[in-house]
Amino acid sequence: MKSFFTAILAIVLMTVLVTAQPFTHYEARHCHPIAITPDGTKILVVNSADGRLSVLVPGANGTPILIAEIPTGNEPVSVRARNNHEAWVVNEVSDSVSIIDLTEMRVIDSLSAADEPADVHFANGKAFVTCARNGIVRVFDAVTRSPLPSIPIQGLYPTAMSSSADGSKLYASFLLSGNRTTVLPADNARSQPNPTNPALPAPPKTALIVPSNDSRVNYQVLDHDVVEIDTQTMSVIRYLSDVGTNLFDHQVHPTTGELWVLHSDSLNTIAFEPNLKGHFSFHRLSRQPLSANASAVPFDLNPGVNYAAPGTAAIIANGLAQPTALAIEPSGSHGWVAAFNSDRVAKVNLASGAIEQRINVRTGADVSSSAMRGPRGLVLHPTQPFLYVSHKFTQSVSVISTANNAILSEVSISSVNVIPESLRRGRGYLYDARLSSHGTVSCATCHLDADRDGLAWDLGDPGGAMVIVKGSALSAHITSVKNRDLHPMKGPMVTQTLRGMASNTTSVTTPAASVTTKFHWRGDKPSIQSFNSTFADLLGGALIDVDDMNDLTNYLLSLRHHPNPNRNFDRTLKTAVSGGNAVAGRDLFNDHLASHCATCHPLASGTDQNIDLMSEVGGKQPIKNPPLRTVYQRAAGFNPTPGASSLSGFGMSHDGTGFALPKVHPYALDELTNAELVDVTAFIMSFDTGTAPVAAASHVVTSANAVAMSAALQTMETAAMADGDLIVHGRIDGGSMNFLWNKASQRYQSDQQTSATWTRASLLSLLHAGDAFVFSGTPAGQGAARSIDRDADSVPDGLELVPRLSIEMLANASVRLSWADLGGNWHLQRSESLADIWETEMTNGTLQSGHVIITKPRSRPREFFRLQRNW
Amino acid sequence: MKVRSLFYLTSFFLTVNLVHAHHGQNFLWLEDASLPHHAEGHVMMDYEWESRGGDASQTYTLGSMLGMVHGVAASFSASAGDEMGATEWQSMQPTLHVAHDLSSAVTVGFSLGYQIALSDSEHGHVHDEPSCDPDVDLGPDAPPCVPGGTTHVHGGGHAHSAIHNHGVNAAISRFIVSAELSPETLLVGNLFVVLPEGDDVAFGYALGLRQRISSSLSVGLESIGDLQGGGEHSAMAAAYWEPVDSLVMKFGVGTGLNDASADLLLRTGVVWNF
Repeated sequence: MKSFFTAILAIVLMTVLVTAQPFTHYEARHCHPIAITPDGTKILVVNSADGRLSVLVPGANGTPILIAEIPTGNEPVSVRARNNHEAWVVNEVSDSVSIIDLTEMRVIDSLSAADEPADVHFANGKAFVTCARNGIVRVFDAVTRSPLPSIPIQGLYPTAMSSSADGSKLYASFLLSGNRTTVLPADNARSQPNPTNPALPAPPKTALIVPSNDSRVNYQVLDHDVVEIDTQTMSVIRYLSDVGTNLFDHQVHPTTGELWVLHSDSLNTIAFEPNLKGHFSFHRLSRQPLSANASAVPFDLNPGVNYAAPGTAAIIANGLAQPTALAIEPSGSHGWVAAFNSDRVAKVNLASGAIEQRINVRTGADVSSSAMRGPRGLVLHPTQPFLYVSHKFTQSVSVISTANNAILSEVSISSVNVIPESLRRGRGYLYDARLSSHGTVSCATCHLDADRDGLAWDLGDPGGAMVIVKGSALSAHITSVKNRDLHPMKGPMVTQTLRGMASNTTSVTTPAASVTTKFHWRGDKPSIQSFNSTFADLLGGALIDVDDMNDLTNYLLSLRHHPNPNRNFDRTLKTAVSGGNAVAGRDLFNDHLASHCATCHPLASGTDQNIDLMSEVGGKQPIKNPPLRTVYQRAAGFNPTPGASSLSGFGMSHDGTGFALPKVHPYALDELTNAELVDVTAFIMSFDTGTAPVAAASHVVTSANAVAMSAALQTMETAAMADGDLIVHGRIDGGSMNFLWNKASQRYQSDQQTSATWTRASLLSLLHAGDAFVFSGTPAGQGAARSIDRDADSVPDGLELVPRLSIEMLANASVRLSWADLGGNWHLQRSESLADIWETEMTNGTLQSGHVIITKPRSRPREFFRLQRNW
Repeated sequence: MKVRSLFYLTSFFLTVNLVHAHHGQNFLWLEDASLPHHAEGHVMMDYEWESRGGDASQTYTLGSMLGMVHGVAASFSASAGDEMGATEWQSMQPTLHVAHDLSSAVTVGFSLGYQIALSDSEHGHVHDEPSCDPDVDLGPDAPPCVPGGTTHVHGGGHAHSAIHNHGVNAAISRFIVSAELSPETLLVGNLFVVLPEGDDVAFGYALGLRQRISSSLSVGLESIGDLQGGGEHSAMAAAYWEPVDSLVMKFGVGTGLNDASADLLLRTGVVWNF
């Protein structure tokens, strides 16, 4: 009886654990999310939200069968098979690479990468890892996995990689390379034209977006699109420029050796929203010859569209937006393109650039944006006529016949979908280009993966109306509320991230009218829902339903920032960052007798949501005090000093002009010494993002390194007490074991029990040669579902019902196998003798009355069958 | 309270040399090098209004100057004002002035004064920090939240820029050059050196040109600004009317020349010479 009540109590506690916190995630930037082993026997797909690698085997007619879901680090975004038995998985948030043994289906090693690794590629006996936020390529020996010297590269957010056929040259593209546009400060720019709305007053003086070859620009904007690296000397050979604005994927042509690149081309030199309505970006596949000084030859993925004329359903049905994945057939005649924002896959004739096929992957009865798949990765079967398409939003894989271009099947890559249904429904509305007038643009055209595109846009409207928002001169300690009159001709504004918006809270409560939450650089939008007008005014489509807008809002509020890599693992500040002392900088920032920093940028987010006195910061129009959580991501790319070479054309302030920390805007309220300014800069570069480092960390522990990892694990436990959950995935004696760190008892609870009894020492004592534990931090409240109660039904996974396999001999020399479907997390295996290797039965079966049914001929005199759990 | 009473008493009789306010006998912002003779002097009154982003500030100044011996004068001024309707401040300033004629047309001068900040807290100003919501996560770097807010005392007053400060204890000096380009045209330049208490030395400038257009009316242009980066720079068009010999009435309209400066400036003053 006692154990019964204990179990009930544990279940109640787990329910609280699971439901106390809203689901949050990082919107992983998938780069190469799907791969296939060289022999074609295993399809590998990342499951970002769940932190796993899904392994599938191609079954009948190419249909994949899910056989394993292997815990990796946090937010895996790329996977490559080094050979038939080993895969490397890049974990974007854990800043690590998980090495996975595909025979034993477990993590055997973890390599440390710099901030936000994006892709891994094998060439010349080495493994190259792009570290997007740090601008380096980290290199490892592909066999021994020992680290080799890193390669520093100049560019903004390097992601996708490919290599020449002989592996001698490596190519890495830059997602945020820009397009050689930049911004003239307001004082150097011409005045804006007169409004077309006669009721409007004269527009404010604003900055101006111009090509960098404008005579008024006295610095160079580099536009590094692709870097070519010698894999032997591990040095940069050259940078390729003028390919595109945002570069998503590329591949070396198997016969010509030319580089084919998928990218967008942004039209951000066109001013005003009405002029950009429905068309502000091209989506292209470009052929980049690799001879010296050769220019790229672009092919429009939406050729012949007349954007001046109204869009039609037929035009929208052909739209190919945001091409994120490329797979070139071995013959080199055709390439396959995943149009992420259009839910389509296209077959392109590489000789002519013509689109020969457009395949709609949004199949089924529901064709709304809620049902969007998000095709993000492509891989061709090495020997069979199958193209596998990984879908980011539905966590599924579609199989397309390359013989007849038909969709053959679609299967889930996850036994459990951890993303709540309302978020899944709302997600598509941010990305779906079918909601635009011509089917080629969406919110995500600029907000790449709900983040930034690195550009500024002038979305002013000369025919618009004034917006009045309340604000106070809180910088001068004045709490009287005044109107801030916002002119619709707002001038260039840098694209803001949509991540972390839920964390942009302020503790300032007075005056309420001024510090209420508002959005956009100027605070001219009172809610996320109020952005519905963008679907009509900018995308050229129609307003979406209120319920859909609410779902989109919930999705956006679920997005969190990465941890700031400039902080210590325990979330404290470092004393040496960017040449300064972040601890001293924090104290100056918070000391109101020394500075007014925190007056307008109060912690934790850095915004008080107020629109302060524009003259205090040298403004030409009212601007909301912006949060500072991601300054570290945006600093140092822009250098407009005369004669300088600038990686980016846009800086940190609202109009893209600010570039020097810590005083991005004019500031004369206090005089700080140069040393103090350096310290404040160090603090701002270390600004807390709202996500503790522990929530993203991941460590692999084996019997060999358990002692050495002791201190790191102690730190994880301590940090998790305050800032997150700590989970453990283990592969012990060939079986899986999972644990959750219980903060109350400071013990680990396994998925086989209802209470936490394991100490760390007892846990690690389980490790023997070949075993491994992966210790991972998660955001608070998500640990239970990621470890001991995957389906969040409050029953520990190990205590869940186990399906019973029924085997029935049929009269027609067939055998009928069935078992209760308990969430699709079991698959059937067979063997001719119990001593043999168990093989996956190559069919998913059919679902009938809650049971999975497989009927197959009796082909052998003796067969054994069993069910194997996928995780 | 004693200090405040003393301030109001003395401000009625005495004079001024607040850097940004500042009297000058012939200008609004500038001080020229001409000084009253022994036992002569003037009493002046100034009012300045400025707007920054829709919020207004104002400054009142009373002061007088008395000639001591040839080329030497002393002045005393009292100023009060508010920052955009909220932060009130007061200050007094004794100043010693010297001048020397280099030629019949060119005079150089120097003044040295000390601005004494007066306020409710004697030095600096007081304001309330906004209250904060204790339920909001302040993150790992914030000081503790104090529901209901705190009263906050600034020891150093409030400064818009390097030389434009008030409510701050500071030594203030000017190097002055006056040049009569013609009997009707006067060109004056001021170089400021300001040393606030507990802060770095700051430098500034002022330039002015005054043109007499009739026996009783002159017009002029004046500018003032900081010599450090990021400071303020402003300019003003002014008219100076002398209805009788002993009285000068001045009026100016100006604007900031850069983002850090005020949007609009109005300044008026009266000088009675005796």
